[in-house]
Amino acid sequence: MNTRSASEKSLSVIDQYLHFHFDEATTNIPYYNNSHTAVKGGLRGTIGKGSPRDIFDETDIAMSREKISNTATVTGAVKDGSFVPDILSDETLKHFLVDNNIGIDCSGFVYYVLNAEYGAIGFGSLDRYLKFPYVKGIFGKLRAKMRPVENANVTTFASDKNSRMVTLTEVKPADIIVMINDNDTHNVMDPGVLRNRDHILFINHIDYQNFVPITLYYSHSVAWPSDGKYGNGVRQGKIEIIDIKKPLVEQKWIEAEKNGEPGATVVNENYTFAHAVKARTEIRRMLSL
Amino acid sequence: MNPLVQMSTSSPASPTSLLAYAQGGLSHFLHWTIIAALVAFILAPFLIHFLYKYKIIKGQKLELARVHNGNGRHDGERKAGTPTMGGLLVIFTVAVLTIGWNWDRQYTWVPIGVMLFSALLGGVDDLMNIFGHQRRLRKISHVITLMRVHRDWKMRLWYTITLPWTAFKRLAVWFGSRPGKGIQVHEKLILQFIAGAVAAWWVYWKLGVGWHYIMIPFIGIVHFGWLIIPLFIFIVMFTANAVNIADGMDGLAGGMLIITFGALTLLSWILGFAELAVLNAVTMGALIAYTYFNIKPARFHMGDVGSLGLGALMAMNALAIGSLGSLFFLGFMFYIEAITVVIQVCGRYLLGRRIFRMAPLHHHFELKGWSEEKTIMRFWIIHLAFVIFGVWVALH
Repeated sequence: MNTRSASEKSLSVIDQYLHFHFDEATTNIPYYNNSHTAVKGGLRGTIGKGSPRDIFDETDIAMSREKISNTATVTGAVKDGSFVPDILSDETLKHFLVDNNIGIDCSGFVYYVLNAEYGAIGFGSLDRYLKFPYVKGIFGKLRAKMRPVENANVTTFASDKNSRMVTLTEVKPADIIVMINDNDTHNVMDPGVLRNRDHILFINHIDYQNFVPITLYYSHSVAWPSDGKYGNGVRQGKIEIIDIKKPLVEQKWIEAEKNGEPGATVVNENYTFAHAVKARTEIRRMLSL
Repeated sequence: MNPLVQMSTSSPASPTSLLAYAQGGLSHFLHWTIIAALVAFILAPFLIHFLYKYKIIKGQKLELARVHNGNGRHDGERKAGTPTMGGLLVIFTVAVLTIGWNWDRQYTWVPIGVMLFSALLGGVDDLMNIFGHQRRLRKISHVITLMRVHRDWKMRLWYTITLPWTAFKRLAVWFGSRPGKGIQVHEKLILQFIAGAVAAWWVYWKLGVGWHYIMIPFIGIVHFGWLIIPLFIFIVMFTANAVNIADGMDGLAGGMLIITFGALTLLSWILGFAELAVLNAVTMGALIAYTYFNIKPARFHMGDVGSLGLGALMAMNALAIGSLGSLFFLGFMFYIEAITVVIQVCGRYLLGRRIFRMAPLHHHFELKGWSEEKTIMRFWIIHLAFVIFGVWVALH
């Protein structure tokens, strides 16, 4: 068995999202999608489109506003007549990020990881190659040009102008898995469905046996209903290839110790798998990669 | 005759008379500075008592100082109880002394009028922010529905007539003018535009051709003609808002305004505008008293009443002595602070990221870890350096 990985640069970006350091605390960056609040013209770090650096800066500024220490010196506030120092734990940091709407959505995460991948192979930044076929009008195109990450959603990556479909046998690291809800008219309360949204995953490692992929390791930003308010965020999972001839949704998906069993009903503990079953799920490769 | 020309013809010729002229002028202006400072010092305790008694205190503004004092209390907690509208001290002193002893149709009517109008606007905003209710803004679709279904025909007519204004207000929200308790940004800009327009109209039509000339450094006196009107409006609006923006730390705006009005006093005197020199000297004197009470820990904050009024006065006085070319340097840190806000907003909307850690600039440095005192002192010194440069430029 041998393993192939995406570039060091893109793996580093994934690691920064997975192990976000602030002061002495570390956490994974939470999932945040701007469609909740529909902020227009917002800062990338606060609309689910921030790079790790953007998110760090926003956290720093938000913490300064909240007067929480980020210097590990003795700071705090007077409460009930006594000075209470601020200590930033991993859990406090995660709660702080979630409460301040600081996070990343699935397409924002993939954008930055792919951007690093492009940089690693000497192509420059992703926005030089990314096309926005669903953006209309002069102002829309101008907006997309100036703020590519905010305008790059799953359908942008899944467009034939940006990527092409590949089969399971052809899959390689830095490919993406897209889940498109073409005819999705279901309500969000459907217990087996993650969200009424498209979704995207980045394949960071692949195990091969005799040049045939046997396990795909992916990273994504996600919020399962079972995660609660503070449990969501960037995390990793894997897809064990049971039968290479069968489609992706008939393989075994494992994430957060939850299995997505082949042939299972849509109601499943592994919501990523459930979403993949419900949606049009494809493995795609960026045209320029 | 152009006042600049008039000035040059009235300047003393011999070195002896030049010295006497300088001593006499300096003594005269210092005399007014001292009087204004004394008056303001006497009035200040009454104003402070009034502001505390009637709780003219804004809700806690964003205060970012992370430095703690001895008992571990945040600066922000202390500042939360400091009253605003302290700028009334300067506005009142300047207005009373000028109207009483320096009331001149050609030179002081317009600056004082614009200052009072801007101060009134700022004062109303301050009071609305303290005592007002949260203002609401209906959606266009809601208003259109009300136009059709309201049971009172007069209200239906009213909603129909005011529909364009409602649409404008909704548009303003897109540019960040959100309804709060006080005057909204777009309303403030419209009122400032009106103030600037009235001033420009008065200057252009009533005060003679002398006001149509602007001295451009290294070029000379340039006739602007009717272009002076939009120029006046823009500069008055921008400067008033720049001072308003810079008023965010204890003593920051006050100290910088003393430097600027000191330079304007000097320039007005050198360029032969005695009435404006007295007006600037009076303002400087009143600002000394104000800043004494405003430095950390502040007894009061300037508020919009002071910052908008004094910003407008600064612009008017600089324009009146023809120092347009050096105005940027005379108000250097104010303009830099305003420009950082513009850049930050552009960065936010166009690029989706912050150019500065926070705008205006003094908050950027505060977030970088500078103490409030360090930020203020350095801003004063940088401002002083550029004002000196501005005076040099104005004399060329």
